[in-house]
Amino acid sequence: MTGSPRTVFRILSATVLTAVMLSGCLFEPRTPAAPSTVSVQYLPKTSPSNSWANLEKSLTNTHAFGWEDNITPEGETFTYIPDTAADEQFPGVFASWDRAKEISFINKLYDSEVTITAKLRNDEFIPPDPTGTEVIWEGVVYDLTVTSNSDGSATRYRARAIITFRLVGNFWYIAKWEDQFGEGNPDNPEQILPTMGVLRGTFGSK
Amino acid sequence: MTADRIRKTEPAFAVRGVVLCLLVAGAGLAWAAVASAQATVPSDSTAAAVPADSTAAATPDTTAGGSASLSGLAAAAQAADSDAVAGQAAAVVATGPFLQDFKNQPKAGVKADVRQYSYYGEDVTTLNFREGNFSSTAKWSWEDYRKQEKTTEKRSDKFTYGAGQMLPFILNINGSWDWSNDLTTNTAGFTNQSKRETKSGTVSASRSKFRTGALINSLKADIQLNDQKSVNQNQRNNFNEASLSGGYQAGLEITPGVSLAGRIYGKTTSGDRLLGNASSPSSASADSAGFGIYYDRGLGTGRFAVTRSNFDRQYLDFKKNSNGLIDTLGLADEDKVVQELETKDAVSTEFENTFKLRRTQLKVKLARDTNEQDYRISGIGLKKRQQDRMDLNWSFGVGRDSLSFSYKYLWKWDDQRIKGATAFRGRQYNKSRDFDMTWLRPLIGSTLMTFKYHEGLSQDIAQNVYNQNDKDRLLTDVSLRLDRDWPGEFKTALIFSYKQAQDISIRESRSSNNNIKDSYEISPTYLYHVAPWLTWDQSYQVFIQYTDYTFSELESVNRDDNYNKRGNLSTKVTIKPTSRLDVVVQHDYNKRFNATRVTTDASGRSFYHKDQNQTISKIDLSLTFRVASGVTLQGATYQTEDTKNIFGVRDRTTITRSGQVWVGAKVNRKWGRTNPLELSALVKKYNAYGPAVNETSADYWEADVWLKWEF
Repeated sequence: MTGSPRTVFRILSATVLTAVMLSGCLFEPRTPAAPSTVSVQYLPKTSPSNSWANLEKSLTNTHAFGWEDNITPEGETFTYIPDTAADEQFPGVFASWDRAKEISFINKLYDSEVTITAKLRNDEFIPPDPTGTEVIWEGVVYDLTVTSNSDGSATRYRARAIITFRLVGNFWYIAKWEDQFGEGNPDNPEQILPTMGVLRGTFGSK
Repeated sequence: MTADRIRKTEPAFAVRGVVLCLLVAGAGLAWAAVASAQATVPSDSTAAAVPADSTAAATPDTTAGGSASLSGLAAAAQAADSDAVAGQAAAVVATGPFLQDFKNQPKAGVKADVRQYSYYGEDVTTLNFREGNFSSTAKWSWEDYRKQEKTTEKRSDKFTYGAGQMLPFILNINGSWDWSNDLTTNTAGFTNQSKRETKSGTVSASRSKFRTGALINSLKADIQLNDQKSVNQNQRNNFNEASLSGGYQAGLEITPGVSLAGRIYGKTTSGDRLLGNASSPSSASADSAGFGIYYDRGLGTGRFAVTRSNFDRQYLDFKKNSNGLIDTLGLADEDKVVQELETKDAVSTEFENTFKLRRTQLKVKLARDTNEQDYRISGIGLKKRQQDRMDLNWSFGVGRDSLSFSYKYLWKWDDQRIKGATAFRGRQYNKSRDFDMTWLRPLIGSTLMTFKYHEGLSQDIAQNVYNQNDKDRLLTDVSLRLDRDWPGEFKTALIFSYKQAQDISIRESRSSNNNIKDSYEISPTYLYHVAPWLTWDQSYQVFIQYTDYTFSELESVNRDDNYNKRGNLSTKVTIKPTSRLDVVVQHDYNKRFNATRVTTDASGRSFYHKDQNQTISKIDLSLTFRVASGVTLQGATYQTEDTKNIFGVRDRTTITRSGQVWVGAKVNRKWGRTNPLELSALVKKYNAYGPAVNETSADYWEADVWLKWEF
């Protein structure tokens, strides 16, 4: 009586394991088109500066992999802390912001027919040398403009942030993004521009 | 202009609230005459009638103009159920004096860390009556941020009153008041004030699971008042609204183990809103209806449920573009704010079945959610969404083995007809499939083997190629773990893990970065309790990752395949020389290098050029000494040396050192029994150095000190 289910179990296990291990793939991705001459040149994530620069390239090319590949990988924590203005504008949206929500946000942003110009580091900012397994950039000022391709409207985001980079495995990743406050519009310093918290809130709450 | 405009609640608003209160109280009393009876509907059926996803489907977006005052229908209905259950649990007949207990708990404290200083105080007042109870919590805090010019002051008060069994139904009254003032100065010297004051009150009455004939019924009614005055970036956002909601749920056991349940819910809201310089009446109405069949017979349990919900609401909002972003650039003040009308219809269907036979379980879950959301003014226009889900889970055990398989399928899309457009833009699809397998088997001795396999494919597809972001991601993850408890105090573990990630952009404009990453990890660890006062814990990890760019051979693609390796040896020794002293010493030795593929020969062998070589050595020491009961002294320090060699036209070596030391004390004392006074204090002083250490993190205090009294 006990031999029969055991045999079934062993045969089933062996069949599944063999099928899985030999095939290597239960699912097949689609065949991509060969690339055109346009190429997004990401940098190796061997320093925090490179990882941060990759986010800028991801934005300007609306290329989601670049963003996903430079924030902390699955299994590691990613945290976003909004500034007060964004937090109040989108109550509850940021309470459990994690890697999955960050990826969802960036994909929704890029999929929404937008063109982005970005400069994620102000010229005055001098990044500290990376050492150990965690590096914090305090007071980096980012500046980006999101233009809708469908109605042509443009919104500019410029703010000061504290960015924490973490060494995971072999590479540096953005582990925490804390927006401090919106900076003034260089063309009109009295106008305080929103932070990316507003952008995250808009697409994250969809 | 801003803070001074915050005004008191309008009398008309209060009058409306009182009228609505009387209406609900009357309705509750009318139902009180109905006799209650034991429920036979499965306990999970009430919650199951309201699928969790329907909450998201029916909850309106919480944006600047459209506040969160209108909560989701399903969430409210679920709250009704949970309140009812809580009320029944508290149904204990009390005796004795009317006022049974009166307690105050004032507390004051201060906190400090590398980010901010906080001062706070609170007072909790609790009154327990023979029937019912009242509690109030008043809080105050003031925060000063160290890394920026920012201060925040917050005040709040919350009270709750429960009538216990004084009435033939459950009556709860809740109120809250929150006030905050945030002043933030940016680098250009401009200070923004974000100030908000909200008041809210809720009266809820419910009666749960009472029988009328063959039906088992639950009823709930709520009145809610919300008032907000706020200003941010010189824009006011005020509202003053009242809402009335009610729900009814009925269940019928048609045959032993099979029940039918139906639910209806409605909510209406009205009031006034002010946004910027515009003011206008606001209103919202929402309703939902649900139906479900629940069964628990023989080998299977499960349910089938359908819920339909919708809402429409009118409110002031900033003009928004097709992406939902505020778009007021270049507009006159009077054109920046619009009177928005938002509507949403949602339908959710769910089937779940669990089949159990001895050690075999098969669980199936199927669900479909659809909704349409429309804006009268916003550039977003009309949005349609659909989501289909299927979860299959099969687990069984034979002898010492247990095995489980799961397959998850998600297929969802959204489509949009931008305001003013004549056609939809095309669907944005997201399709994902995941397969998981776990196999547990005890091997020889007390060795446990855990084998896991996961494969997942997620795909993004834009119909009509309206964007260039079509992409696939295929993840394959295999791991084998062996754990063994050896005789004595010795434990070992061996982990082998392999992961492959394929990132594939489908369109030619994005495919140049397509790559396949293969990662390997081997990690043997052991833990040895050498003696009761000495533990030795050591682990070794090797990570290797190969990155191959799919199109790297093309001249137009300037990407090089690469290879990265990292080894980490971690040793941790825990010593407890006395019952009062704990010492932990840890050393991490970390070596890694990065290389780029230079060429591949005819036999397929690849040759790499080493780009960088890095060694990080870190030693930690921490001490904990228990001076007396409730008093502990603590301290820790670490030193890190990081040596980096970069190979290129000119080789370069850099050595950086960093470190930190902190000392502190922790005190937790309590005096008195009847009216105890409690002190808790944790104070640490940090000093740090290194290239990543700046002015605020080089020398700071971390503290959390509070004093609490109860009388």
